[in-house]
Amino acid sequence: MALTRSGTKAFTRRDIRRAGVALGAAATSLALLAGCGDDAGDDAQTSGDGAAELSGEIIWSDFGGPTNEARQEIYFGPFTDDTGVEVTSVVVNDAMQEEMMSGGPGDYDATHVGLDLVYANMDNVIQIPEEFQDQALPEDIRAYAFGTFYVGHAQGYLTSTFPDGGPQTWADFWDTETYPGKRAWPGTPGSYDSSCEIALLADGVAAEDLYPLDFDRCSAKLDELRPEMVFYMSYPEIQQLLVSGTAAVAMGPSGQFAALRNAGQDVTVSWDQAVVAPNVIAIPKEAPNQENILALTEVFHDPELQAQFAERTNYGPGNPDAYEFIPEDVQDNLVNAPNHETVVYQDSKARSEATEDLLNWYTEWLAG
Amino acid sequence: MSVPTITMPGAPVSPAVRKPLGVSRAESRWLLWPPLVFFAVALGLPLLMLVTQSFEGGGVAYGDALDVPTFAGSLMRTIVMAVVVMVLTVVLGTAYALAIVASPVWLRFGLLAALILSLWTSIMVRSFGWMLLELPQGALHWFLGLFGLADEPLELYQTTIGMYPAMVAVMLPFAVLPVMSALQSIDREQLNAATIFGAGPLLTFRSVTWPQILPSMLSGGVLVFVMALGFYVTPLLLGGPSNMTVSGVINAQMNQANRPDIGAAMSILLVGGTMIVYLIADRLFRVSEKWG
Repeated sequence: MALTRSGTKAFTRRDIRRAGVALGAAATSLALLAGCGDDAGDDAQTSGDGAAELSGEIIWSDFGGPTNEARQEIYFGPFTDDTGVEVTSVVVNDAMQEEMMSGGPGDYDATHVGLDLVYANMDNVIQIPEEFQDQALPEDIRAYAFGTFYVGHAQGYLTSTFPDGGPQTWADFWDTETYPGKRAWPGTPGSYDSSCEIALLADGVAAEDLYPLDFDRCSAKLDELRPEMVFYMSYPEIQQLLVSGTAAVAMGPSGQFAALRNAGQDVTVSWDQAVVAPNVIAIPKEAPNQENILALTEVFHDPELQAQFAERTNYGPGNPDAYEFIPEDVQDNLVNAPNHETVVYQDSKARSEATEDLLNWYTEWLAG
Repeated sequence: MSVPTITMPGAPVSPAVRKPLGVSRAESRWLLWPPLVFFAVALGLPLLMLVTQSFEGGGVAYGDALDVPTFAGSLMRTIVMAVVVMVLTVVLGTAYALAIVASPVWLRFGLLAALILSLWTSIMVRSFGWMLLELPQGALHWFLGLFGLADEPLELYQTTIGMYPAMVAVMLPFAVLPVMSALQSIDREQLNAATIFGAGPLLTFRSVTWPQILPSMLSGGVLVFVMALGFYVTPLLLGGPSNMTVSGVINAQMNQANRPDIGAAMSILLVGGTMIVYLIADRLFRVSEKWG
């Protein structure tokens, strides 16, 4: 408790400035009615029937970067135009997120978490109206999170590295004789991601038998590949390791391969056995602006906006209807696209029960 | 040259007026306040909070910390690493300081500028610089290739050998600067006297220079050792995860496991472990008598 940072410290000067702007905007837009009609994605509806009048702000915490920029343009912009509620983005402060997810007070109205953290704290988050729940989420957790997007833990390589076709399955990833070269692999204790699942898949375990995770078996399989691994300490390093020729293949979150592609590189990603990791936004019980953030869940559920978000970030949407608005060539880059039939879904519930074990296991394996 | 007399409010009027040349007790007390307040705020308070936090669960965190399977190993590894860095840095730093003092002016300026510039550059930037240097097909590989020495990709990146040069480079200024200042304050006449009495360069160094720079080497070494205990990014990036330091384990407890109390307990154990190491070293080598 002693080190829990106070609210003001968690804000940067930029946040404070933005909060000031938000207050100003809120003041000038008092006359505006909240457009919480049928479709908040449409332009301002001044005749929202039965919609509550909203004002004030939302404090949104995520990991910043291009994902946050996409959210600002695609979701927050129309929402603010519609309701006058200004959305202020801050970068997640771990201490505050932890405090709020365990039921304590704080500044965040919404915070970006892995689905396993939601499973572990279901009593401490506010439920989403049924009509705005993302159908792709498992039924037992659907009500507890929104803003779903799917990250794939997949293998990718520069297409030129393997002109005759590169590795497809995780067994191929382990096969350094057929596909020579170093393997880029996450190297910090907290980045265990899907390491254990992938090792088990490479070892021939069927997708439905992955859980509960057999850590000893994971370690043994990872040990086999260790001499061929080169470790990254932050995700963007993946791009560097591939481009510099240090690693031939990388295992990592699909967003990094998308970033390489956007930078003009010809990258091949294998979705065969790629592990799907659900990322969501949770509303902590003590969120200061609950009405506002609940109104925002409608915008986030809109299939057309989710399609735009997917197209821009290459993260898979949580509303299956969004796929109607996503072109074929973009679908190829999304982990949970309908034609990616061999992807493997993380069991967030099983993982939520093993969070500490996962961390300790991975730290031990890394240091060993 | 009159010294302004300052008295502490509420303190009895001291007889300082009578000795204007010395520093009165009240004055020295005033001079002591800023550093004391600074250390209380910058060091004492955080340390107190850390101790409080580590005892939040009634000391359970210490047991849990020792139960984290990687903790003990990484603690040992960190201390060994800090000792190796310290020894390498002091040896190299002393040589560097001697080179600075013995060089002609233009070279001395160059050596000093290189040292200070590296001190000004962020440790992250320098670590990434070393990474680019050490990558299998990085700058070093290219350079060796110019002489036809690099057929195979280099096996240096993320090896134990690969991490030490970077850490020594990061720490070098802290070993060089104290030794350099000690060297510069050596009275040249002593060196001349030694020469006149027939001592060769080696004997002069051993009996005149060495005793005068040894305290600075030791204090530089202690400084480097303590700072090296906090290494996090550099060994992980350049040495690979099998060189994980205790900072990496603490970070994981703070940020991933959401157990700041365990992280705090580990920090206290690190500080405690360091003090034990230092006390043993002091017993054996009488370090504290020689530095300062």
